[in-house]
Amino acid sequence: MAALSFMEVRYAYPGTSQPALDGVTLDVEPGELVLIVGESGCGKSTLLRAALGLVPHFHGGELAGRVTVDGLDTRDHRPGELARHAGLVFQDPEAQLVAQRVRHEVAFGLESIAHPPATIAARAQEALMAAGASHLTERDTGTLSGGEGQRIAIASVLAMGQPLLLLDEPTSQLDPVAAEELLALVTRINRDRGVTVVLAEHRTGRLFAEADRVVVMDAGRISFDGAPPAAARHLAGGGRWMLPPVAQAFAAAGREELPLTVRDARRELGDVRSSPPPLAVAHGAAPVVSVEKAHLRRGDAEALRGASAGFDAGTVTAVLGENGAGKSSLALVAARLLELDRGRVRGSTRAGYVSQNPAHHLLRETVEDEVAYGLVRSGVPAPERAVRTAAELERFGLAAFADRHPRDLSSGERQRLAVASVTVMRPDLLLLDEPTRGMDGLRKLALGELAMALASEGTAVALITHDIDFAAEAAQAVTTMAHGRVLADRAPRSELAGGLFFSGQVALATGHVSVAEAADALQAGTEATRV
Amino acid sequence: MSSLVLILAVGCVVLGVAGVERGPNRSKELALIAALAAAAAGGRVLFAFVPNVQPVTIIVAVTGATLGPRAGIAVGGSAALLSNAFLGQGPWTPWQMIGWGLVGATAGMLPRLLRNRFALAAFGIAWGFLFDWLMDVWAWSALGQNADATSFLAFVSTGIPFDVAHATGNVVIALIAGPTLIRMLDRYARRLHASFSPMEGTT
Amino acid sequence: MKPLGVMLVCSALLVAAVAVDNPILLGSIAVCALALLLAGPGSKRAYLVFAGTSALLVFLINPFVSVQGLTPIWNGPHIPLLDTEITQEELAFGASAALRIFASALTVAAFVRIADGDLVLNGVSRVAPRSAMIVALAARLLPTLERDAAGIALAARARGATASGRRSAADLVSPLVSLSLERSLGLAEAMEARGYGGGRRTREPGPPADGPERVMTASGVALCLLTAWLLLFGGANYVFYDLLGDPVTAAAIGGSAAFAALTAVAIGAVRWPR
Ligand SMILES: Nc1ncnc2c1ncn2[C@@H]1O[C@H](COP(=O)(O)OP(=O)(O)OP(=O)(O)O)[C@@H](O)[C@H]1O
Ligand SMILES: Nc1ncnc2c1ncn2[C@@H]1O[C@H](COP(=O)(O)OP(=O)(O)OP(=O)(O)O)[C@@H](O)[C@H]1O
Ligand SMILES: [Mg+2]
Ligand SMILES: [Mg+2]
Repeated sequence: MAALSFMEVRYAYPGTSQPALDGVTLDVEPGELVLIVGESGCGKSTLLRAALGLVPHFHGGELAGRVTVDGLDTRDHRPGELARHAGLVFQDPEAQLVAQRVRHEVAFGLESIAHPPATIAARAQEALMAAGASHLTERDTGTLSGGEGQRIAIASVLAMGQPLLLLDEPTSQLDPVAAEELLALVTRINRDRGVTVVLAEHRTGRLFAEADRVVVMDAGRISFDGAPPAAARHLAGGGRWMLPPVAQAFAAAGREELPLTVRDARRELGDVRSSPPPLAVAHGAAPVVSVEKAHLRRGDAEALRGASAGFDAGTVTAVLGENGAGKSSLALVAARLLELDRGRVRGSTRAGYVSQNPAHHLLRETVEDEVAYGLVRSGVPAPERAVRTAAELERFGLAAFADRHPRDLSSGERQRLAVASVTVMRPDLLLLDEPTRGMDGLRKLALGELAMALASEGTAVALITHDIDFAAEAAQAVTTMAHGRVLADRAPRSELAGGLFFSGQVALATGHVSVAEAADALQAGTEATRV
Repeated sequence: MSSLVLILAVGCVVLGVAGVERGPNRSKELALIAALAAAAAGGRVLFAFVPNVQPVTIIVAVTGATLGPRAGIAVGGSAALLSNAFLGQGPWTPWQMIGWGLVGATAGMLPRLLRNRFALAAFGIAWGFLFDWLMDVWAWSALGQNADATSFLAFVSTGIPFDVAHATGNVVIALIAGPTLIRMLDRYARRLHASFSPMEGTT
Repeated sequence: MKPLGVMLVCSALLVAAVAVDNPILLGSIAVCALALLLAGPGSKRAYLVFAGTSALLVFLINPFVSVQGLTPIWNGPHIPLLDTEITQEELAFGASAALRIFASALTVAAFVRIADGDLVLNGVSRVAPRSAMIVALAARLLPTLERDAAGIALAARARGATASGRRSAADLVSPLVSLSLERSLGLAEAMEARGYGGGRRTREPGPPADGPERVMTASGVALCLLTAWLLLFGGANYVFYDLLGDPVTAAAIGGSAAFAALTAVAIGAVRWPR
């Protein structure tokens, strides 16, 4: 019997006419590791919700066809029962933890399914150990980092002992190190414990090769379902951005063979061993804004300890560093939204900051009001305001949504709106804090182009990001941070080919920074030369 | 006197809790009430340094008016309990729970009226005073045999500047945010009851 | 610490603080409450400030609103509604009312500081599962929404809103509520995904009570008995008006000593290294 099976499933959310699932047929066998990829809004989350009966019991709407989990039809069994057979881990750790203490969090599911009280504590502890999180038992869930939070979410599912684990973009909020660790944990659970895993993800880098099967979704349908190499060949044409970056480079170069991992790519290219590139630091003339020897305490943490960095006009600078390195703090200081304890900020006072959580930007009831808000607050007269707002909506492709409620937009549109609401003020420096969270590859490319377009108009653009493959595509300079200090200020982008963790997959495999550069080199037949 | 007042307060809280217990036990309702209470409490803590802007009263009133008295009581009571975890828990906590619980309950009885923003503002003024007076009851009751109308007036008059500020804060929030909040919660109340149906045109 | 013992100790002190009249007993209860609070973990400044100011207010108001006592010490100008003749009895009564307020505020604070909030909630969930779940969820969401509130304020400031001022603050209320609605849906979905609403629930019993917790419970029971004895047999009585009575009675002295001793045991249990 299949662990999970969809038979001709069609589903529409309440009040929508366009079905989110439009004839999905899929069988997942026990013990498989299945990766689901597809454009944002194609129905990945809906599919996973349907597997647990949340669609339709929690969300309502119209359903046709049959979904069975362990042989149980989700129409007849509510999520409360299905939770004994399958567990779901969501994208945002902060949104899915229900209890205050980690210990209670892991016990919550067991309590809900009326597990015998005497053994709850023991099972919870065992699950925490299996998820590599037993040291967190007594912590408050509010104090966990993103990676720790996701581990607890997985432990909570493991504790219930379900044979099927569903994960909806579990790494999209994590830094590269934490994401790697989490995916390693998931593959280990699958290999060592025989838990069936179905995982939806945009950053497919590592998982693509490890999966037993890759399912490609498109507008509510399954357009491909097969082994990773075949899936890679299927995607090489139209859906290249769903591939791991190395495979993207090979596909862009029109090569037949599509290596999915750095190791395979190097094997393909012969023995290419990248040597560290020279450290050339090319600062621009006077930076638009410079932060000098900044010290800042936030709460109990020393967020900045002597950080110095500048942002050059006409340049896209990527700011990289692990969780808690102080990247957001640096940006807030540069935008003069936080006062420094020591040190100073020089240069333009016209900086725009788009926060890490785009939901924080949505203050008004219509898209148009949202863009105009900053102009209203800074006292721009009405006629000029209207012109500037209209122009900005046009430029960000939001004109059609002018009267919509911002919260009714898709995540990609919301992100664009948040950027538009800041660029309308014509800042000299635009700071985008983690703009690619949960974005699909296509939208990331568009955002990268937008950043470069703004830079070519003379704005200094800073991209604070965990997504190194994105930085490799969009940035011209790289600033790296750790422990509240700046390690390298505006290093040339070739740095991204030399580091260990701060190197994209393409760079590790070929020695070139971006997909396009690597593809050119591959096409020219020149053996990947090191930068 | 103080004993009587203590018993009365505990009784009111127990009554409110009993009312909430008789409500539905669905995850959506519980999470919604919890989130509104957390928003009210979070706003109270955040705005603690903006003099006398108390988002709690209006948020609770709007909840009562749109989701009913039970939800109003639950949001009011838990917002008081939670925000005091930061601002200081004490014998005044039950009084604040009762005060905001009553705000929610009375708002729940005036659902039509409070959809008008000026009515909501007037409601905010009234409760701005009533709420603060209720807070005085506790200290007043400690006067024992001296706890009479005169001494209550004395307590109330020392607090008038605060009452006025609290009421003004309510008016500002009611006028600026009230209509939006009502629309938002109305839209949301409709989503609470999910039901699914078979899709047409298929077997 | 498990809440049962702490609750017994604190409710005995609270009832005593509210119902006892004898000033010596009141004073010793206030000292006990203060000592107990100070023995607990965490910051206590806010509680002390709040309890102190409330007590002061009551002390200052009483002489002006009461018209009793036969021993005047000051006679002020005539003001309507107020009684500006201050008597020794009124001062004494005001002081004991202030002690009452002070002691009851600190007792509640001590409970909050010493008892483990999670376990309190767990206990409440036995009798009131929905309310306990609401409070637990709200407590879980509070830091998130506080961060959201701060984030929204920051984002508004980044777009030219001023940092303070009522209008700006009011502008932030509806985005905050709107975000909380969204968060609530996500949380509810996560709860259902983990089996909530599937029928009967069980509860993790938690570890059994350890030594200090048992000591705490014992001292709590003793304090409850002591309070009951004082109240039932008149040991706590005292007259302020028209002339102050003699506070030094055998019951008052003995009762105070017993309060101090039993509270010292409770404090020992709180501070016992575990
Ligand atoms: N609660 C909802 N109510 C109405 N429509 C919804 C709801 N959730 C999703 N949709 C719509 O259903 C479609 C499928 O959404 P879904 O969230 O499954 O996509 P996804 O592939 O997970 O996207 P992403 O990669 O952005 O997470 C989209 O058009 C989306 O707008
Ligand atoms: N509002 C706050 N209150 C208290 N401490 C904070 C606050 N914001 C950040 N910190 C702390 O300051 C330090 C730096 O945080 P910052 O947000 O700048 O890091 P970051 O590099 O942006 O991390 P991330 O990648 O997780 O966004 C961290 O230790 C963090 O815990
Ligand atoms: Mg999704
Ligand atoms: Mg950050």
